[in-house]
Amino acid sequence: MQINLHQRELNIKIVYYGTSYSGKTTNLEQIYARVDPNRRSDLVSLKTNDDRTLYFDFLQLELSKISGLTPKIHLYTVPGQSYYETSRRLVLNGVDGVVFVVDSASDRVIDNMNSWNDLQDHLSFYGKSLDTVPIVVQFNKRDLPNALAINDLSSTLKTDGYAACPAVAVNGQGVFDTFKVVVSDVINGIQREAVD
Amino acid sequence: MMGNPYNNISLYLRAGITIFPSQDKAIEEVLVNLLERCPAQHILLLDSSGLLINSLGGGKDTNPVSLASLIAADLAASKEIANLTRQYNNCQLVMREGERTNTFIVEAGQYLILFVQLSKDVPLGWARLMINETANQIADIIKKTPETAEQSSIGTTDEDLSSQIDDSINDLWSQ
Ligand SMILES: Nc1nc2c(ncn2[C@@H]2O[C@H](COP(=O)(O)OP(=O)(O)O)[C@@H](O)[C@H]2O)c(=O)[nH]1
Ligand SMILES: [Mg+2]
Repeated sequence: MQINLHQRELNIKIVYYGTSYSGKTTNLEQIYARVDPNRRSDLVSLKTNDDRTLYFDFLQLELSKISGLTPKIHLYTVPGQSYYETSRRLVLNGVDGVVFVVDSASDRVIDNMNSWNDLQDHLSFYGKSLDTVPIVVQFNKRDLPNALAINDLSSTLKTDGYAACPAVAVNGQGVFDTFKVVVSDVINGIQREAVD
Repeated sequence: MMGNPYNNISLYLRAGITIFPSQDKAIEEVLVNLLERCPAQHILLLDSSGLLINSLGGGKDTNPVSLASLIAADLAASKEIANLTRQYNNCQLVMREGERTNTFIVEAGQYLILFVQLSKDVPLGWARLMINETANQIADIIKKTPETAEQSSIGTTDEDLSSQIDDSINDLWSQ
């Protein structure tokens, strides 16, 4: 988070985290395609030759003023494969809110679990945790025939109690809801802390 | 200013950075000085998480916001490589030689990163000296939090903040 009281900007960093192929990049692509071009930056993607995320994707959005400050939302994704562990940690530096993208497919349960644990390890590296950083769990790929029930996924992953959004990111479904929940949680969090 | 949610901003942004008007002006001066004296073609100041703070010079078609995210990632990766190869340096510097320009990426204190692009005509020793000096000045400016009077000088409306947030986000999507 970065606040510039002179330029009246509130800069917020949101990271889309989750196992490889869960739909993180798709979320950013959908947002990119749907918002007014005047309100967004280019979509930066550091990809391998076969189109997989190598380091991160990045997109900045500019909201209209809130309490006299212009929020600028910086969205990042991480590379999901286990061998990109260090890169994932680097991208989490300075994170203000996380979207954890779950692949609902029944054969991805273990991968989702590993990623969820990995997220907690990396947050603790920065002195943060799931209790201090706003998290939204996006249950993606709800359209798959082998998608597990959200309740079952949630209790297996132990994500009960965190904000949840079902999604079919590839069609844009649930993408905005997820974005909205995480951004309002982050901004409301600032307000709460300020009032305390 | 009771009820102003941003009143005590500096107290709770422990992990983040708050830049006060006087600091923003002081930084701008230091950067303009570097731009002119070096001279540099493009200067970016950003924080270590990739959030842009200031951009001076630069071509019309370079997007400083995207560039900032890449510079932070570049420096983070370089630092990690230095760590893994036991070349750790307190103040990491990345230099690139291009065909017509050179670029420097250097830490300015604990939280900020300075990127400078300059012509190959500028001697490297001179550029390094100027850039390091500027980085130190910026680190000093950020270290000093201004007086409380300035901290609370933000105007806010009395509207319900949550509904403002809702409107602002909805507005983004519906356009
Ligand atoms: N069936 C289905 N496929 C999806 C959905 N969201 C993303 N995908 C596909 O899953 C693949 C991986 O998506 P990507 O965004 O690259 O995943 P990432 O590795 O998490 O960035 C792509 O082929 C997407 O089109 C979804 O909701 N349903
Ligand atoms: Mg990806």
